[in-house]
Amino acid sequence: MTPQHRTDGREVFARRYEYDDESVIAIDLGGETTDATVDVIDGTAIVVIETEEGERQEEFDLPSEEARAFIRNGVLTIEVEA
Amino acid sequence: MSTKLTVKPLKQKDAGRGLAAVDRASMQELDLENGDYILIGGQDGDRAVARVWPGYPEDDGRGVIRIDGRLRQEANVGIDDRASVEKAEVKPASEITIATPQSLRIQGNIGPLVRDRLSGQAITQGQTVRVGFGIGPMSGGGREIPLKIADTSPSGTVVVTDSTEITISEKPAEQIHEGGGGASEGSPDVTYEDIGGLDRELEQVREMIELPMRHPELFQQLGIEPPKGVLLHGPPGTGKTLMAKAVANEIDAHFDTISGPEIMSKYYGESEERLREVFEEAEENAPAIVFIDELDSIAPKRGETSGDVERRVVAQLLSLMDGLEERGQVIVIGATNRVDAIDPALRRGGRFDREIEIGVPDKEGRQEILQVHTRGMPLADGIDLERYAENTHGFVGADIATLTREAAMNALRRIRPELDLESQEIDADVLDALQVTAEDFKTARKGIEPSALREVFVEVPDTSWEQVGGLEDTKERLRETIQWPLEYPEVFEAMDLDAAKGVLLYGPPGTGKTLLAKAVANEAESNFISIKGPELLNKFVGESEKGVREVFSKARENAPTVIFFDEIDSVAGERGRQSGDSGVGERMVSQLLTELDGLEELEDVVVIATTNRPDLIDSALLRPGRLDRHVHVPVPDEEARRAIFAVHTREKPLADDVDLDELAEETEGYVGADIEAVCREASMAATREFINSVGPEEALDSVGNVRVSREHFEQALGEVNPSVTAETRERYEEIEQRFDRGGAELEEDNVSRTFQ
Repeated sequence: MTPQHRTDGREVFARRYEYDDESVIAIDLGGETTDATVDVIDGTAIVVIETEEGERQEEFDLPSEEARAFIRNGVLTIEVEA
Repeated sequence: MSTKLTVKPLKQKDAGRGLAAVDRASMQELDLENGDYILIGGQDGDRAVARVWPGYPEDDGRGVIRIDGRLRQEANVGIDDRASVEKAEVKPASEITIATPQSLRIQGNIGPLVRDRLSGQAITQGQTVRVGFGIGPMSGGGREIPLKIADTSPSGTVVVTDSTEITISEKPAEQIHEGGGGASEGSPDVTYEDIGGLDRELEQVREMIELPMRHPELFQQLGIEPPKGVLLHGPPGTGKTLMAKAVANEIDAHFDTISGPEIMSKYYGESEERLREVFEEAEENAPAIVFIDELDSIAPKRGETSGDVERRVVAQLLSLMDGLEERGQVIVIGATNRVDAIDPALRRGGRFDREIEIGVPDKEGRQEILQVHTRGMPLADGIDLERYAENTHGFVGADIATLTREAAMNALRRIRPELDLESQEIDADVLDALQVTAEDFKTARKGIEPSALREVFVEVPDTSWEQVGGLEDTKERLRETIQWPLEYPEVFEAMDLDAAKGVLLYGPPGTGKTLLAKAVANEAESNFISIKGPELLNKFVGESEKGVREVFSKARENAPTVIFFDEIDSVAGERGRQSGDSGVGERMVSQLLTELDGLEELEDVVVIATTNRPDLIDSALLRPGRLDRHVHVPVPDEEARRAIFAVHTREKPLADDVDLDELAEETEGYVGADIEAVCREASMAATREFINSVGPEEALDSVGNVRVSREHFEQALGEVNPSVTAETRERYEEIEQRFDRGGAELEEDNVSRTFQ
């Protein structure tokens, strides 16, 4: 996954790193997203971000269905077994 | 729990977000997860806060933390230093107060904007954060505005969230005392991440400068003298000065600049005196770097200068750099774009120990530079920097900076009608709406040519392959020769195939040789230099050859390049024949020969030459390795003529009775230029008829009904005659046969020189 664009035009800062045993996709959503949850469903990571204006949802396609995802301080990490 | 990790730089594109890439082994050791806050402790108790980012795969298990220049400055650590890293507890901020610089004039509430930009960043009181507000000009030249954090609540390190209250302090930032950290005064504010595409060169410079300054004991142990000077050379705008600035900034050394002409004085001995003063000052403040910009202006070759002063200045510089007196930890960086103009005595070991060439960046380099320059820029959707990196051959860093600036200026122009120039301040909403679009970049790209090519650059023509009618074979061969090596370099490498150096297009006048060359230049996406033979000639002996040499050296610097010699017979006539021009022509031919196939490799430079007198060209130029592909551009046959008619009538309003097949059949012996003339004449005839029949008032309304009919074409055919006779065509076919048999026979084959 290379840097993508969000609907509001601001670039999503995303990087993908390939390690020996797994590959990691890291996405920086910015610290506004301290209240965010992520779910992996059918190869798509669905991120729900709660902001003052309400809920916002973002989806990221994953390369594989077997993935683990978590968010901490606005950094979304998706780990995929190689 | 804290661990010592080695500090390394981040990749350019990852910089500026307050992230720290920690390798995975160390992350496990410290019990960290991506996104955790960490506290990085450097020298003198300075600390910085960052969020953990997954480490680069190549760092695995090496105990590395990668942070950008801003964090390095905050934590007061340098690259390859060891910094302590520990997990930090960071509270969300409920309220922060920021102070803006006095010069900032923005109307409205910038609170939300600041929160937007700062969100997720960890900050402490007294820290200066730089925030990009869209585009620079309003901040007085800089890209980012420094904001000072005046107060935070709760105190300590806090993180800005969506619910953080942001208040703007009454007092401007200048009046608030800095509470530790922050940038040191005096040294330039450039970090390694601000340099794109020069990783290898940067590594060399660091090895020469940083290592001896940080760890002189290494050199003692080895029993060698640490290096004393580095000479950076390369074309203008490639980043020599920037690199010197970054090095000075990153190692926190005292930095003295000498700009050549500044130290010159009209009084005897004073110029040298000033030079000595600079070095003395540097010595007192050691470790220090003395940076001499434009070195060639104060240290030209002593044998070649006429002035006495220059000679003495050079001598002074020589003895300062390697004299009897030790100069301690003072390293000299020189920068020049004319390395051959420098006194040779300066270029030996002990003075400038190493010469580092800073070249024109390649595609990856350009992309990195683009990333650096667009870092603080609000880019619109769908901007693909990689594409811009691809089609900016020959651009140096300065050109790319201009490109991004121009693109931003275009964006600015768009919102200018909304700006009230009378008012003192700019509305924050307008600022937020400012965005740089792909269209802005495209417009900017059109106006900027690579600086190294400005002298010889011609605008790349807008001709595409579709505009060339017929000539399918010829087009295919040109594509193979010129586009393939640039597009599929891997294939050529795997097949151990060298790209052709040059192509000669020959054929009767008007068959489309120049048009083909234009199409190639456009489709190959290369830089394009067009040479009109006679313009290289100069009245001074040796200057004409120099012209040829310069063309090729320019082409090499800006590869991939297509050099186009129109009517090459004018500069590459057969040697040993002319006598009237004191041999200039012959020497130019020799120069051309050596340039095309000399000791110096021509990489990614293709020469296209056209002529309609191939028999007059020096045969050495035509042998393999020089203009090795000879492409005959023939008189078009019926099918090709049909295609040419189609090209030229594509936009014309044709009547239904016009049959292009028939026209093609009738125009035996017409070349492309003739056919163009026929079409032009035909529509002229139609226009004439129309304008004579209606009054000027109606002309505009009824012009849509005009058609070019068969009659008009017949009229035109009567006026335009074929320019190629059967005889000429035979001659060219003969020449083609001779070329096919090979160059060796060509020389002996003097009998059939029908044109002389």
